[in-house]
Amino acid sequence: MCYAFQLPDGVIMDSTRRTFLTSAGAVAAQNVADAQDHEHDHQAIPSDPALRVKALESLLVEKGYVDSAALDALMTGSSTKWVRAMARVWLREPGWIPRTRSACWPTPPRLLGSWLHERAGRTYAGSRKRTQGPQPGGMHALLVLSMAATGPAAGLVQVRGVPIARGNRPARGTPGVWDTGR
Amino acid sequence: MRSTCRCAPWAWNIDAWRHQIELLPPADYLRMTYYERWLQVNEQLVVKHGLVTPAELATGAPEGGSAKASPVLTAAVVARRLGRGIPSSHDPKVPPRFKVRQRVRARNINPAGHTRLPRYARGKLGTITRDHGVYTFPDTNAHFQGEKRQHVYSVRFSARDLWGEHASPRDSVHLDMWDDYLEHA
Repeated sequence: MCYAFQLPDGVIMDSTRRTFLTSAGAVAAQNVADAQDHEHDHQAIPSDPALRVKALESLLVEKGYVDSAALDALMTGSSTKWVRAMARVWLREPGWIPRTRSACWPTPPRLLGSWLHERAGRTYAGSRKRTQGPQPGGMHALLVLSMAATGPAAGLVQVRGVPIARGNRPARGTPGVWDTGR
Repeated sequence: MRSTCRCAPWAWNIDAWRHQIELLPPADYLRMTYYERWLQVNEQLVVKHGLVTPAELATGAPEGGSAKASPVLTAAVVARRLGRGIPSSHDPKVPPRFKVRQRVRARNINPAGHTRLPRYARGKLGTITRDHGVYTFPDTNAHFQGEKRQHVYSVRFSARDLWGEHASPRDSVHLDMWDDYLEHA
């Protein structure tokens, strides 16, 4: 995986996820520290959430909560798996995915977010995998699919899937049902 | 640290995570992008559950002398879990209260905590179109009060029932409803 990101000083660098981690963490930490200088009743948001994500990931790795190799495997594996699942759905029912939209967010936050999600507990998803094949149930409540692992172009695709079961689908032209999963 | 996940110990669960997002001040919620909310909440949760101190979050570095944990999730576990997928939700020990094609009413409840029952559907009549199987009940799981596993159904509500006569008669909404959200029509 390769990310392009822009550091606050305007330097753009390409990097693997690992080197991104080490280089971005310090910057993000400073951002967080700066933000917390202000008195607010909630935590202020530094200017670059992507760097905050990397700082958090780096911290969790350093504290031993997260294994870097596991994280890499999870991100790569999950993304590949989702991409395959999505491809199957699209091939099977091209009109099914009700909404795609471009995402202006860089990939790292999505990946860590997905990972934290996965790590945090079981998901309400995937109920139909045995009886229905690769149906959209697997894409339900969590989610936002990260397709980042396949490259920059795929990283622009973000899908919030909603299961409209076969036979239950509204007539053509009627609105679908949106997942309200956050 | 409390574990509510069967697969690995962790301080919180997805429902608690969602509830944490709901606790964001409304103005913040609206100002933030989708993933900023995720990030904000993840930062809050690691502190709230004692994984990370506020100082560590601010500096990005572990405090001196803090204990180092051993990662529970290893690459080998990841590979195994990804290969297996999410476990099936079939659980014969939990009987469904409703059947497909049955008319039901979404209960008019207004819990103070987390719920996945949409406000706009409360009190409205719908028809069960599918039984998804058995799932953890978010309303209790979010507050670490147990999984209370129960059936989840896809329930079809006509747009007119939800939003009145100005809605298109052809439109409908399918909502995933836990058993506890429903009552007999």
